[in-house]
Amino acid sequence: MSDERRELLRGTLDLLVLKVVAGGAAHGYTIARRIQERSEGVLQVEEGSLYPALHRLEQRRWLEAEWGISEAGRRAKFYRLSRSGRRELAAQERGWEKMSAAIGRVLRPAEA
Amino acid sequence: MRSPADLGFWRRLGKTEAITAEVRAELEHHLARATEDLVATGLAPEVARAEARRRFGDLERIEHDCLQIQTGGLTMLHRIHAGATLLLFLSVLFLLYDGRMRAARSEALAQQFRQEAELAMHRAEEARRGRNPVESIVIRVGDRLELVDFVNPDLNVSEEVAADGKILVPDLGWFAVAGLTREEAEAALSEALGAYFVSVDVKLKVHSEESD
Repeated sequence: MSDERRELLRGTLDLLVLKVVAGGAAHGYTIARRIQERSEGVLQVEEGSLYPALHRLEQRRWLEAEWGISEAGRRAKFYRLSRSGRRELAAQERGWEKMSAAIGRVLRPAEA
Repeated sequence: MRSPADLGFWRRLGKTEAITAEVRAELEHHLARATEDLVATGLAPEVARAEARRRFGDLERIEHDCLQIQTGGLTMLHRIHAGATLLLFLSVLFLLYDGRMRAARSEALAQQFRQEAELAMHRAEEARRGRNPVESIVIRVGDRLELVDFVNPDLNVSEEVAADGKILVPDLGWFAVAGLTREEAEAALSEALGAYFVSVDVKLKVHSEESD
């Protein structure tokens, strides 16, 4: 995988994680499952990418973390969206919509 | 434990082991959930665990990456560097403190020497003026006194101060000397003997346990 694609995917993963967590606090395993389910199996997040992303977003204070008890009765680390995280999610969503519209115009010039 | 993101540099440095334990616990939770889901599909627990582990990927690398992010990249080398810097800083503080203490002690010694020099000069001046305070011995009971008169040698005696503080002096009889200094006793004896002799030149030597 080229560096350019890896950089694009990492930026996309941050957006996906922020969006999933915006729906409610969740631990890493649930976040991965939600991304997979909502993408209807198209997107499968690798754990090697997911957990560093979660810790990076926590360090940037876009996510807040807290240890609790999961639905299976196990001790787990739950992430929720912070106030600054909500602002960042909104900004990344606008950026993504602008990017996808631009790509769409390139791919389908007759419809533009 | 507070989120590592809320901790400053030094506190994160001190809590690296705790942060490592938390990262491992988080990843272990993921593996446990993945294993449970695989068991639910019909796999045996040991097989499910192995498959979950395989799908997870390089656990140690992922743990390392997460730890690097949480601790700000405070690897062992950084810890050693930070520790060496702290040790150097403390050493400089100690040297500064020790230097100040040495300077203070030197000043105290210099002050003491100045005082002793002033006292010695004062004593020398007193001796030059004939008032040597060392010779101002107070006569006590039990002291042995040598009375010498170069003009009237018949007066030369050696007497021990009796319990009543007196000595027996030829022609004078019992004469009180206890409590007088040597100089005072000489002066008193000279005055008393002056009534009996034309000229007297009384010198008194005191032998006590302190001066001998």
